Amino acid sequence: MISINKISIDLGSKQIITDYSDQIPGASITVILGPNGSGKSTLLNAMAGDIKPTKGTITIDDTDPALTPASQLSKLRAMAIQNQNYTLGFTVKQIIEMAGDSKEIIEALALTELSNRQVTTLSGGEAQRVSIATAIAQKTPVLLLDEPLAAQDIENRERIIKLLQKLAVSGTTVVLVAHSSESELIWADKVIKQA
Amino acid sequence: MKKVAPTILLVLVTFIAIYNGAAQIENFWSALFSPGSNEILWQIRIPRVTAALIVGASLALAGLIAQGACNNALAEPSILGTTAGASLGTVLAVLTGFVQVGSLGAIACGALGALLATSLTFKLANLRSKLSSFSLIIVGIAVSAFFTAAVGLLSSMVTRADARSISFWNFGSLALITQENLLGISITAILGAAIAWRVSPALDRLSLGDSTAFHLGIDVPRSRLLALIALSLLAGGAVSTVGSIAFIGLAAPHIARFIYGPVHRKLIFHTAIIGALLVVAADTIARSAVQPNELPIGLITSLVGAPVLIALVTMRNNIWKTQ
Amino acid sequence: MKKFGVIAITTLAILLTGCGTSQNLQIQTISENDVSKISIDSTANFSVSRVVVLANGVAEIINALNAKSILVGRDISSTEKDLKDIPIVTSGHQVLPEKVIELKPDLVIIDASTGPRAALDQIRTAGIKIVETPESWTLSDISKKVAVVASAIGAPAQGDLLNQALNDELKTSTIATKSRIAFLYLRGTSSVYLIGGPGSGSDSLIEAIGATDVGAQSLPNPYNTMTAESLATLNPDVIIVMTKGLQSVGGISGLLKLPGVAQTQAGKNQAVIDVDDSLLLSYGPRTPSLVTALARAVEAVTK
Repeated sequence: MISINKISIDLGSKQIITDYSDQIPGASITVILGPNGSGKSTLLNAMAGDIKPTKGTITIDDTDPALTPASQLSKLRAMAIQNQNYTLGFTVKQIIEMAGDSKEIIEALALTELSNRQVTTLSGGEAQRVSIATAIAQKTPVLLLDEPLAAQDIENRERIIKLLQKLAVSGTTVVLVAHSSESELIWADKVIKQA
Repeated sequence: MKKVAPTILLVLVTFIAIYNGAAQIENFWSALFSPGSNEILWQIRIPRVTAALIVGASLALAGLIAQGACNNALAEPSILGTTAGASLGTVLAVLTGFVQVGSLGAIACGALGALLATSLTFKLANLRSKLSSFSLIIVGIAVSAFFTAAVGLLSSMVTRADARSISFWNFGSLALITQENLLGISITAILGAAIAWRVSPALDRLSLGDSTAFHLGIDVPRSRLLALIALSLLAGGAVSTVGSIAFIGLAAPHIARFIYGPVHRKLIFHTAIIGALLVVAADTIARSAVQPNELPIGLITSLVGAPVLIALVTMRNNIWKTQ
Repeated sequence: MKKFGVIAITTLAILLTGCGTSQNLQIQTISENDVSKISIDSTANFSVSRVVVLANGVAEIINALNAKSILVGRDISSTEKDLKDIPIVTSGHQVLPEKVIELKPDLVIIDASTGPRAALDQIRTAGIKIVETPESWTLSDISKKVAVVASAIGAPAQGDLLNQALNDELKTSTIATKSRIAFLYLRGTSSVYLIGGPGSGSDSLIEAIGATDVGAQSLPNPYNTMTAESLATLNPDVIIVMTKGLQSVGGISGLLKLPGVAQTQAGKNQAVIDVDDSLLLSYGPRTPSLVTALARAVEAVTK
């Protein structure tokens, strides 16, 4: 379970999130919605420990990510950022194995044919799936995904959603940022709207 | 075949380097197999070739670590200010009179200068935003220019033999190497390589960007600091002993990645081999191209290294995608 | 962090133990005080009365010709104490035309290396006569140079007298040694390390004492890059350097540290002779005395 306790986040001189509290239930899928610049990614980054809230705290099962060393934190949460840029020509398999075992997830996300391709040659959607696969391979109780569906076709979208549902059922707390309108989100357990 | 070629070439070139020289060694083979027997072979030529091997490996590894730690294909000791810092550190230490070029003390001061100059580059490049590759290179070039000018100024104001000349610091030379110099550069090479071995998994992950590396459990500032220390030791040892030899730090890691792929732990060994090969070959050419004169080794490495690098970059090569 | 402790301690240990350098007794120094110049006492009338000398060693020759009275200006290369009060009209090796013209000379003496050319043109334009003397790089060049200088100042007989005196002294000063000698031209501060070859200037001196110049024997150029292996292969018994050259590599201990030097017979025995920079290749009135001093020094270091 993730608790958000009266957090405010300033980026530069601008206050992105003001005095916000919420509870994200464990073993579920939570979707953060909102227009551009509303602070969706900022909230996700704060949960990941990238940003320390200016005021208030976030805890993941009583651990404050902003105060936890990177190696310990990587056992608690995984995160796929929105635009993963690959600079070195590792293969898809090599990238995923930086996080953990690759075999299962490569199959689940239909990456088998790409597994020996260099990540620097992938299309946007393919790179995004590799990034998601890497986060999932970390096998953490909390999985944070920034716009995982943005560059995917319908087939892959459904494949990802199905996989996330499976993970949630088996106990993973999934939080993702999405652009979709609410009607599509029948698969979400909770929706957070950022204004 | 492609994968063992550098090692085979290294053995071959090293042999040629030991066999050839201004002096004819009588009974070469028996002299080679009885250490110490022939003075020219054992006190002059073999120490010099050994130094070339160690320096080449050090500079190449320094380049590999610099590129990995900055996640930037252009990062190289001479671009990040590392080389200029090492020169300045050594010259200052020599001029204040408590160390001599090539001694362990000079190497320590060179490594310290390298560390300070590189940290300065990182600090200045970081001032405005997150480490961007563009500002890193621009700031690095400026810091290098400044420190190189300081070295030039010092060596023209204080003309002392033991502080070496501007051309030594700019182009490098192995001509003044003696056996005593080998200990220092061996220590920095081994320490640097050991630290590089330790941070190499982190360097792999840093290629995904700082934030993804962090998500994967890498303490980014700490890893970068360790890499910086390894970089400074390697470049500091080499530069404070033989001056700066151009292009090795840039060319060797790129050639190695082209052949062996991007995994840093695997690259440590291969990059060192390729760096050693390049420097031994360049030094052999420098010694024998215009006998009895010698050319500055930095000229040869630039003449050979630049086209090789251009060829690699223009060939189909997806190992390093420029951003 | 343990590793860094180890480096620090090792460094300190090396620094502390590395301080003592061996003192050496073999090295011989020949300074300007160790030689005397040959000169003549007879007086003569000269065709000129105000002479500015811009050629290597010529001021010295004029002094030896007993004609110091007509010398009003000189270049930087004339270091003789006797000439100290004659004003210098060059900046480094560059001729300053204003200073020359200001002295109202009726004769300016130059050689092939005097420059810049533009300065000489200005002097010529001012209506001042310029005479060029040959440069002297060997013992036999001395008499030619003396003759040209003497006739330029209108006293060829004085020149003959001086040449006679120089030749007499040379004949008596020659001491034959069989040593193999190398001349090293060192400017450590600019990373210039050269071995003298045929025509370096030093070869004639080394020949004069009956020794062999190993550089002149086997190297192609007057000055050749000194590499560790080339020097070790030449393997001289004695090394001759210029005094400031030796200083520029950090003295005798610095010289012995240059790769290749330690492997020579000269390096092993520290058989090194340093000669005053302006004296060694001056080839003038002090040269006969230098030959004697050099021969004695070679004997001393090869004993």
